Amino acid sequence: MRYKNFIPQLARAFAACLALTIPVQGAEMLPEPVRQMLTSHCTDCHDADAKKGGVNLDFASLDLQSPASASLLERMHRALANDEMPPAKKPRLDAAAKGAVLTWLDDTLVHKVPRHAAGLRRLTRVEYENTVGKVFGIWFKVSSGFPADTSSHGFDNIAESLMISPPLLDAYMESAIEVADRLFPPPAEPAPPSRKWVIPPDDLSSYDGNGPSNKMVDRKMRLILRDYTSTASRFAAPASGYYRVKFRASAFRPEDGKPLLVKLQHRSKEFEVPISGTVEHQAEIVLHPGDSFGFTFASSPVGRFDPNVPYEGSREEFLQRLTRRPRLLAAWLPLHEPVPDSATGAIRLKTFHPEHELQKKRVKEAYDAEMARADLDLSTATPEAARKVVDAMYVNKNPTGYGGYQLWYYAISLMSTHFTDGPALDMESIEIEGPIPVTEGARYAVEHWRFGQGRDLQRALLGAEGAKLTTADALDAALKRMLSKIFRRDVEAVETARYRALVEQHRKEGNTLENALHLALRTALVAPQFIYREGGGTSFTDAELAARLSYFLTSLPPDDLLRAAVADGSLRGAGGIRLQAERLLASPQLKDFVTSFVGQWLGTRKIREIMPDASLGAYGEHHSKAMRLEPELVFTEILRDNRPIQDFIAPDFTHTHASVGKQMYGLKMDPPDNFNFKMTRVALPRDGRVGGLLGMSGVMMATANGVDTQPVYRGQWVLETILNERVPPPPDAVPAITPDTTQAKTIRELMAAHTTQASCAGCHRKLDPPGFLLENYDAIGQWRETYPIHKHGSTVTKPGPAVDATATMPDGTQLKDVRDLKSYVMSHPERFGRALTEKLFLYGSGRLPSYAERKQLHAISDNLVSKKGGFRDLLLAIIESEPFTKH
Amino acid sequence: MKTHLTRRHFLRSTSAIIALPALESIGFQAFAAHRADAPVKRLVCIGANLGLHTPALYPAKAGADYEMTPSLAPLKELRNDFTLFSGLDHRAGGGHPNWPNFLCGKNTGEISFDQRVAARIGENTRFQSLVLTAGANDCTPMSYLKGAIALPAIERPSVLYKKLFASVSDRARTEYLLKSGRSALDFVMQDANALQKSVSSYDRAKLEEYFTSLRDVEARIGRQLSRVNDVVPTVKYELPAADPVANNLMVELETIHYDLMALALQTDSTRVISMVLPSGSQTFKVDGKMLQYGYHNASHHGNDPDKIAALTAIDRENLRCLAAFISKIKAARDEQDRSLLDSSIILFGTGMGDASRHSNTDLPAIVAGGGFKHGRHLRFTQESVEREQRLLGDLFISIERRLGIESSSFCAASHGLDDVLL
Repeated sequence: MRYKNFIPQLARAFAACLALTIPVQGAEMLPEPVRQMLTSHCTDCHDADAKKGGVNLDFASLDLQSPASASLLERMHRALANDEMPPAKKPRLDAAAKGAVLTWLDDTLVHKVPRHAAGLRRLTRVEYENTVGKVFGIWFKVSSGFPADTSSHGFDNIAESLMISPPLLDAYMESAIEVADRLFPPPAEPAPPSRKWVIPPDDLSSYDGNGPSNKMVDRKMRLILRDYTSTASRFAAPASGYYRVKFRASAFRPEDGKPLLVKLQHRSKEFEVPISGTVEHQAEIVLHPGDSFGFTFASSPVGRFDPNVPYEGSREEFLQRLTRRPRLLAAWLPLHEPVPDSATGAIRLKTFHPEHELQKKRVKEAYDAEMARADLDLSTATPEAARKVVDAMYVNKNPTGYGGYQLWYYAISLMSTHFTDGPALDMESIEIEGPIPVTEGARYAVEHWRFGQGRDLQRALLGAEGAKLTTADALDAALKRMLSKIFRRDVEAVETARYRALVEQHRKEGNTLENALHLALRTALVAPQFIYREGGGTSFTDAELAARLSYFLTSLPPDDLLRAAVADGSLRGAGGIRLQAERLLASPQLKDFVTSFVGQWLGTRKIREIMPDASLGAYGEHHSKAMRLEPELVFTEILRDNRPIQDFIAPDFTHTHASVGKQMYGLKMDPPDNFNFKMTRVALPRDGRVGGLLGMSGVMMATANGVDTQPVYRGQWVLETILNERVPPPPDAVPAITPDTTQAKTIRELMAAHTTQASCAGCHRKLDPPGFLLENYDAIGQWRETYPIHKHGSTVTKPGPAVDATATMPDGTQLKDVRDLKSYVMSHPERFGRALTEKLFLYGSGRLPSYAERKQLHAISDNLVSKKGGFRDLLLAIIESEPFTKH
Repeated sequence: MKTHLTRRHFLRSTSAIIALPALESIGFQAFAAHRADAPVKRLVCIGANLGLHTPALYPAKAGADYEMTPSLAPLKELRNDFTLFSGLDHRAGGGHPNWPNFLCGKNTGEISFDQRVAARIGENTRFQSLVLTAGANDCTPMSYLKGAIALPAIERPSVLYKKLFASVSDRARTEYLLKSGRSALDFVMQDANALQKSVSSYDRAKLEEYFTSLRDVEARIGRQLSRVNDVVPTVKYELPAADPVANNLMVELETIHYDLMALALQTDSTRVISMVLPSGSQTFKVDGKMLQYGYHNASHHGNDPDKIAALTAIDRENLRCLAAFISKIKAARDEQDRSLLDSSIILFGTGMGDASRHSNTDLPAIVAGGGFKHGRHLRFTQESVEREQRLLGDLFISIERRLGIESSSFCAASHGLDDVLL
């Protein structure tokens, strides 16, 4: 029998009881030993009255049909198996009794708790957009007022958290009207009378992330950067139509005697501005209600204002620019005599004290003051002098330290000289007039997006123009075609008939056929068959499985081949789903899955929202982009090449951008090219600190907050994402620890309470060690050996307390730093394998696996890990698994 | 005529175009008896996503004789009409996920304070609540319904104006879309009914969300249809030709939003309004000079005095707009001829204690109106032993009680601040 290996007496008694429990009306009686354990150890706190943690364990039987019972049993199993309960201060459980209870829980959860068909799962916002776009063949984005989805368990596509709410239904209805209007445009409102607006140059607004990229000089708006548009911020077109724009512009100190180019946005035409004198240009543009327009200095030598890498990649270009600006060079020279550093002997620039945060600004102030001097000696500004400055700058470049600042402030100074030295574009006056009355033909051009495109879209959706569907058969065929597209499956005749009745009823009420189709379309777009992509039935259908697979790997509704596999039954046939999955894995749309899954799995999606504290070091758009892309590219390569999942932890490669590679990883790479963003694949030693999820700046940045590190958050992330262990959230009313950056107290000292107080220690002896082990990464994922100190309004980057990254794992293993942590994870690869498998399943199926399903998934993962199998095989195995395909 | 003129008549008279000053000056003194103890009815919550730079805001002294500070300067004339709170917070975890929790309490996504209140006092007005944002705010909503449903916020004044005071010409199509929209809802309700027969008990609960939403939207459509021919309060307010939504026009947008908020309260179109001041790439011109740093950038000041100066200037601009709003509400009369401020509570606060470090402890708050005892700086310290530990939620409890809502707790808070506020 099952329990023969257990400590004899108790187990035997227990088994006897088990055999005696007879379910009564779906209710499972608790075996006596379980009941005894509950009353003697649990119900003091967990009875109907006290109900601590919302848990009541005072019952004699359980209705196993109820999902609440199953989740209670799972919770009990977890609490017992992980020694979370009973709490430390209460008496321990007898090992044999505990084992027996766990066995009963396991058996009940695996064999007796029924499995339900997949629950209702609605489309996410992205899936909704993609689906509407695909179904109607339009470019579709929801409006900014569309409610955002709620994430749970780290993902925004989890069924239980994808609620339908009144504001969401409102938004669905509004979007449905918007889409229906595209196919069947409402009659245009009469055009408002034409009028003229004078746009003061001051209204041209531009922002580049660090400050305005344009500036008023002599009542003209001066534009210096190429990649930013200066938009008329107080203008909005009152109606669709042609507008005539007139503007006067002049060139300010053009380079090389070449005329400038100005681009009028909303019309990709460039206009020449001659090297001298003011020019007037006039053009007609098409605007729609609410649109504005703007100007770009299209031929500016300066593009994006990324403070960290502006001229870094092109030393020669920097040299040339400096040479061309004798005033700037003359101003810099006395400030930047290259001298040997007293401590290191390296050549550095005289006035630059890297330890001082405010120094950056002083450097710039000093430039400005020098430049303003009337008696500036220009004779020193020779090409040789320029080369000397640039040499010193590059010699001095320290990828992880203050070198970045130096470049930053050189660059800012150099760029701001465009305002004073040119080349720059001066916008002198702007007028716009409209909407201009036009002839019928021209009006058709303007309104093409409404009526012409509308008819095209009708043909695509209905197979014919709406107005031509005058017979019942034609209407039926059109509606059948429409509904099967919108509902992502073949529809029944009764469904079509209902919609035909809706159309006919609306016609009877005196509306046009177009209006009736408009309504049918709007209705289908708020119908449950469209909004929910899974669930609702007694079984998990082939069409639902096809949708699950398709949204999983492509974020799109099922394509024709997948629909065909549903129709001919081959999807569920031998190897059928594998074949489809392999096909989708090869599609270019896979990148949507990678971006969405990786960005949420690792939290790197939110990197773009984090604007890190500038005193941490150089950080710009290239860093941000590279940090988001690195895990995605690594993930893609491991998937594509079917590499072992161990490569997520200790790989022999990564993909990075030179700005990150040099500064964060200390890799030897060619300097980044400012004008072409490029990710490079680099080979790495497997035992180094760089590479793998635990060595990626982006991941480390996503687990901090842009300013400080929070070891508990990182620790929790490692436990859950890498080691497959969940810890409960902190109790209420415990405030977060705010790192003390003004005194010399380390986060570790502040967190000492975690391990000295018994109530904290239970979880924190698991949470804190991985967090501490990653303390060498600062809040932007940069390696550090010491903490910085902030004092009296400035960052004192003098070495603060040393980072102590050592930690003892709960199993007693002593680790020194992230390298040790990596090898620790590599020595327990099954833990990472299970964690990854669960996350993939969670994302793909939109739900947490049940206890029994988790066991199935673990078996799949363990088997693969033990064989050192590939990641692609793992993903396919999950897709083929029973939990994924049957429920 | 005066004696018989009720406010309702006033708003119903189709030909009347009411200029607001007229609304104020005609007032309702003729029929309304002054009652100082009359109930408070309206709540306005304004949340600054990036918080306020507290060293420039908090006076050194607590109590009634606190000294004015650089950021409070715009509120100087209103000194006796508001209270400044320091040291309160929600005891929330740090970091990004909890910035927008100003109105939610400990966890972002819990039903927000404004919506909690709207559910109780918003039923009988045209709009149960209004949710606004003073700029693009994609990632950090402030108002939530139960179940972590973030409410979309209106950014464009033209949209808000149209919603509040729609013109006749818009109505025919609106009415058509509403009516046919109702048929669409009836139709899908049948689909959902059919679906309900086959689903599991778990899905029945899930499907209930769909039913609830259908019923709710249907009721809303019904309300709107029943009012489609109502005379919408006509107000004389000239909107600018273009919505000032560009990133250099935040102050203008705020100003117009505040104007429209005042109109919405005066016409009793709604009783609960919230507005978020978002954190983005907004730039500011202060005293004719462009600030060198954008809002978000300045908020990460890293203790750079220049950035702090820019941030303080921006805070002052925001508080200047708030002061103008409070003054306007104070000058307006309510239907009982009290100052509108007496029957309204204006709460300005944040979920961000220190943007430079993303800490969410010590959240500053300013409260005006509501008949509270004002004119003081109330400081709460974590160490304070003489009094039970107070949280920001305690302030919310007291506000709810003033609004006539029975209230005993908000997240971990359960005391209220009645002892110091009344």
